Amino acid sequence: MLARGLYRLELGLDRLFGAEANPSRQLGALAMWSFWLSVASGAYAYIGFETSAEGAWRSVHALQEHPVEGIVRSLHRYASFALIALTLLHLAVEWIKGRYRDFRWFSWVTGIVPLPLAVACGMVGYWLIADTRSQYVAAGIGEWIGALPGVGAGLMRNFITDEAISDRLLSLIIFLHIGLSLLLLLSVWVHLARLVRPRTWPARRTAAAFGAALLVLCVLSPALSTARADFARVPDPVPIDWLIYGVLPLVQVTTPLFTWAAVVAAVLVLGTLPWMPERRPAVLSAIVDPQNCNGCRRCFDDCPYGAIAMAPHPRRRNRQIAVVAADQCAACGICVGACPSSSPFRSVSELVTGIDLPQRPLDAIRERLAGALAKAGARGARPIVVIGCDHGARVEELAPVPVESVVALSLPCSAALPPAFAEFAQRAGAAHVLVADCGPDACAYRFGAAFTRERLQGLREPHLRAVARADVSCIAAPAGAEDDLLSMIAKLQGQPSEASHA
Amino acid sequence: MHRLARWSLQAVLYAAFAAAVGVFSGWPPYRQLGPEQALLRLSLLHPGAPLHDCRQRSPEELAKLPAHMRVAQDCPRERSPVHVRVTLDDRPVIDETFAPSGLARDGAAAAYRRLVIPAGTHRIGVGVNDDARHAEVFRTADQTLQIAPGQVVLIDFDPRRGGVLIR
Repeated sequence: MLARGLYRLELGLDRLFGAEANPSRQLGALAMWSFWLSVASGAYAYIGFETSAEGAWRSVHALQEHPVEGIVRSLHRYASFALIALTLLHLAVEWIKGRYRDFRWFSWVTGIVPLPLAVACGMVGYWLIADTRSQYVAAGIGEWIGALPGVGAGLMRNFITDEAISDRLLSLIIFLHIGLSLLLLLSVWVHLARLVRPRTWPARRTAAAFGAALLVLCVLSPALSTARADFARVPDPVPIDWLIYGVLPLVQVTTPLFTWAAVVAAVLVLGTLPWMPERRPAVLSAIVDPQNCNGCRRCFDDCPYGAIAMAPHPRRRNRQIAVVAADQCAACGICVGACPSSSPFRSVSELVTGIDLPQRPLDAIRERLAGALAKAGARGARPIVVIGCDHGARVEELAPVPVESVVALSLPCSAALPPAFAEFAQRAGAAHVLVADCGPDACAYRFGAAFTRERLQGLREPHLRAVARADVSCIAAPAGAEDDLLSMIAKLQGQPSEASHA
Repeated sequence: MHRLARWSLQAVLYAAFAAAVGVFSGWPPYRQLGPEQALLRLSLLHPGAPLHDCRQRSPEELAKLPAHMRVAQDCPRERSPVHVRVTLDDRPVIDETFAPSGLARDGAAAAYRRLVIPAGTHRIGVGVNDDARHAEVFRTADQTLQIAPGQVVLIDFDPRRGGVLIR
């Protein structure tokens, strides 16, 4: 239900922004963009910052009075907020889509770590401005952390009197702020470690529009310091940066230890989600057949998760064989589509390919396709073959389409289809082959849609032969885009040879 | 959709995100105290007196020790916990004992308590005992203060500055 709503929203935003510039499809990359905006603006603001108890508030106040530096200072604050907001959104979207189980556990768990680091970095950053917010944050953190066994209430003494705030303390806080930023960057690097060619930059248009929106915010509503910290008075009311130090009111409303328990419980629940029981068939990783693997490395090159390694072939000298790391395998089948042994024209009774998915073997797909086309041919029909993706529009439930006019086949990913299958379908009587992928920017397995199109256009191996390309089309049909798919099918049925070709 | 309409709608969505960033990075504000309230903070970091007196080692005991460790006196490192009593208008609000830090219990005792109190004139009494061998002896301070709303009253303990400090 939630997922369906999300897919509809993403589809709507695809139509509005264009799939390649849709911000909701690049939340992680936008979070990284916010990080870099925050780093750049922070580095610039630091030039004018006085690292002293006396000068900190004055220098920040001077920054905000300057027309340009005030914007830079505001950008530092707002980009930091955006970083946390986008990280939370990224986590929420991946959770709703169920992308946290099986091989994704590593990315999920390591994706949680940057969040507390970003929050801690932001909290420490607030100490530096030495205003009443800073006073509230420092005292709040002191009360919260000071309640931990082993830390002690002594920590709090650094933040409750004017004389306790020293130049050395400010220097220490600067180091902490920069150190936590570096740790945050390191945690993102670990988060991306299992991804091949991770997307860390948003599309240029998206980055420009996002940056411009933050700049406009900085101009219209610049971030301003409040009054200088005064430890003889309680800063009240205090503006709360809810994503950065929004936890501190909870410390005061409840108790520090209760807040710790709540935070730790939340992190534990998030961190253990991949192992929560769920009624779902287990994902079986791809298997390699040594007889049919010729060591061509195409599956190795195309695997989006780096789950395939090449090793010496056990039986053939000077040859290699693909080896699948089961715990990293997504069972997307992109490797099956990349394998040159996956040709349906091979004259073997059982099509055994170099690498295959045990739960959906290629031989069964060939049989099913051939059988459906033979049945349609017996009725004198020349159906359209629609190849879909399990994560995209549901091609096998296209109710309004007459059954005899369409042969629909859903695969784990559109790229699991070896391109030669399109020609195979045409020769077996298909009027047209329509590949409904999720679109290059919405692929559940990152590169599946892009690889499918490249293979069908002859830009990537294994490629579809040029003679077969005329009657093959591609359509971006992510989840929820069944209507688009139906329109395309109707269009193809009306004008079979003038469809938008791959 | 017309290109201009698409761009306008895109701008609206980006503006909505930016507005959310701007708004929630400071709103709604949080009020820690009511309009007629003030804050009483107890914060001290103080090493209590040694818990046990030094004693002279006997010649037999000294002989058992390695040559480089033959110190005539045995002075246990453990310190006394610090007992703090705070009264507000003669009503006890804090009466706690804070243990010394460290695995050997030889560090300073640290205490932090935060109490919201009504603003106005109050008599604050503080007693600190830092020597468990003389548990009945308290160093005390007693002050009547006119406390404004939002004011912070800090209770500290520093023997070099006269013992109990109320400020």
